[in-house]
Amino acid sequence: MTILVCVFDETEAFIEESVRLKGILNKIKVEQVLKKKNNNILYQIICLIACLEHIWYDHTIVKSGIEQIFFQIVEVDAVERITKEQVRHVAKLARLEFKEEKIEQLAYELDEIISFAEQLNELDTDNVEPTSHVLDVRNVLREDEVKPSLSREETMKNAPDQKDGQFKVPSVLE
Amino acid sequence: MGLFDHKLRDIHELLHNKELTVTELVEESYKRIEEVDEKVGAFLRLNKEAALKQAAELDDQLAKGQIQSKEVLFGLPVGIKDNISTKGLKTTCGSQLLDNFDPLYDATVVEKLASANTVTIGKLNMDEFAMGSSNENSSYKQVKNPWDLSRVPGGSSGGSAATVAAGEVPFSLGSDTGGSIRQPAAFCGVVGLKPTYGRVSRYGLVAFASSLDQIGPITRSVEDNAYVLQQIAGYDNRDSTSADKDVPDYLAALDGDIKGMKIAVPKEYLGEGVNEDVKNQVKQALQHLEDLGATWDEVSLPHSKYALATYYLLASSEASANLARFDGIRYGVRKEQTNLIDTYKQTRTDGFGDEVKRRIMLGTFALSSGYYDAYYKKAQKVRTLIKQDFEDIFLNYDVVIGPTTPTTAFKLGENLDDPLTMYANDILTIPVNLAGVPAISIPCGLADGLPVGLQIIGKHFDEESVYRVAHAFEQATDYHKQKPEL
Repeated sequence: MTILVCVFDETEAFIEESVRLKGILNKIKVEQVLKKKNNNILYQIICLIACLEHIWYDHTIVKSGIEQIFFQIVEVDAVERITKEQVRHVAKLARLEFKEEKIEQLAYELDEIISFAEQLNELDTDNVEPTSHVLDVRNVLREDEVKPSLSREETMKNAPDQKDGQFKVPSVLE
Repeated sequence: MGLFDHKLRDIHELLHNKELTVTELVEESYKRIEEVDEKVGAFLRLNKEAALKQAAELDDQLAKGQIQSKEVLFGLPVGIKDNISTKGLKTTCGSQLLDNFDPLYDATVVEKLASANTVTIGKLNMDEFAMGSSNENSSYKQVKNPWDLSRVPGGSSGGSAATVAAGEVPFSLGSDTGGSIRQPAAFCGVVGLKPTYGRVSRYGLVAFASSLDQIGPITRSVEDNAYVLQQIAGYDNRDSTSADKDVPDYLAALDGDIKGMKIAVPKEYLGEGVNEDVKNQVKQALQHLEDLGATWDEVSLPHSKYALATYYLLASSEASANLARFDGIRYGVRKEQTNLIDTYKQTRTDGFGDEVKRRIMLGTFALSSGYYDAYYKKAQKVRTLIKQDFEDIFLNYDVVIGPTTPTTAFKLGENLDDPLTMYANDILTIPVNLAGVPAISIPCGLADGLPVGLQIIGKHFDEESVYRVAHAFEQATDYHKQKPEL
């Protein structure tokens, strides 16, 4: 796939911003993002290109938004971070099935969300403990006592198929 | 003025003084539902026969002096979000996959309400498996905002908020994983509380993201909200994440006195992307609170901007694991194929809607081999930083205040095509779930005729301060009395 890319050309590279933008929108390969007065303007332009949908791009709209920035348009190959093959693999793990066009759409959407999530890489978390649970609760134990529970009949109440008080399923082995 | 525009305490008084029977109350609820719910779409199914039978029994027992009607919630009609288990009353989570699911037991919150003799009117519409911010992901029907039927009620507890705003029931229960009680409460102009994680038992709540989910009340007033929380809060040994802590007297916190209380206002909550009218209402609210003797300072929660990405990684990962149980073997709508794996696949592919599948896919990807550290574990670490932001602020402040949502209710269909824009709606509510702290949304006026929500966030297990400030504000203003015309 080929997409149009904005390359901002000035003197001093603003690496940090560049990394962030790449994280947000990998579909647009930001070759070099340069420091300028207003970072937000740049951000908006990039987002605008994204909104115009993966490939299409309107010169006039972009131009009107960036008075202070020099830019030129080049064509490059887009970096595909999540491939259709990966989507198929994940779908298999998740026990889901998708039609071919849906796989393409999912690759794009997941790619977008994952790219957005990559902004977390801005943070240095080397010495930070992960939080899996907000309260300080560890293993909760109790005595192993028999207490009243559901009867077999009750547990079968919602079974789609059953036989002799057991859940009936299609064959596991071919 | 409808009967359910009154405070719970006032309705209770009518009942207690025998000016009203439980049957009349329940009939009133169904009458209102018949009048307006075709437009609003809040209820997925009603419990009419059983509710009227229960009401008649309660009236009979009252007449015979076999029971007392002392408790404020006695005999009151309640709506329950459809992801909360109700024995004998279908619970679908808004999903086709659970279209035929008949729970075998009541959730702890439902048991607790039953012990106060409330009457369950029916099950409330929601985004499928609580994934969504507009209720457009319900696989059954759309809930509409009672203030403007062309707009969304918010989500995922859209039905729970809309039904209270529409005066169909005096209160309801919702669940909140990333804002699912507070955002619809804000959009519908009602009061919604997400309690501290662990304050209310999750037993019987169909899990979405187990480390974030909490059940909470949606009501017309702060006082009503406190009555409901009082009833449903507390330790439950069937939920190992519920907190073994005493439940304070929430009503006692509603004394209107907030003199000297310190409020933190994060600049990130009034920054870019938040609508100007919303900001203005919040600033006016801060002025009211200042007039009441509280003080406020601008502060920073520097990691707020990372909350959205953190949340979608963690919540989707947990969801992908939790929703693995829906395979059509023990319950649910099975799509039988010739072998087991294909049966799983077909059941899930047909049963889940697009948004649910998208999140299962995202979560499965984030947890898959080779990506776990880069995405899931990284997000867990950032969660620690977001939690610390709050802990730092709460060293010096009693509550944190800001808007509940960046905008008022948007139009139906407006954000459907773009998951990221839709997700951004929860940007102000999500940090609260990640930190596990309690927060309420209360009405703080209208912008272009639509309700604006004020979010008040407290320390872990300090719902009292949240209620104290919310109640004082409510007493000093008339915003909560504004009602939609239906």
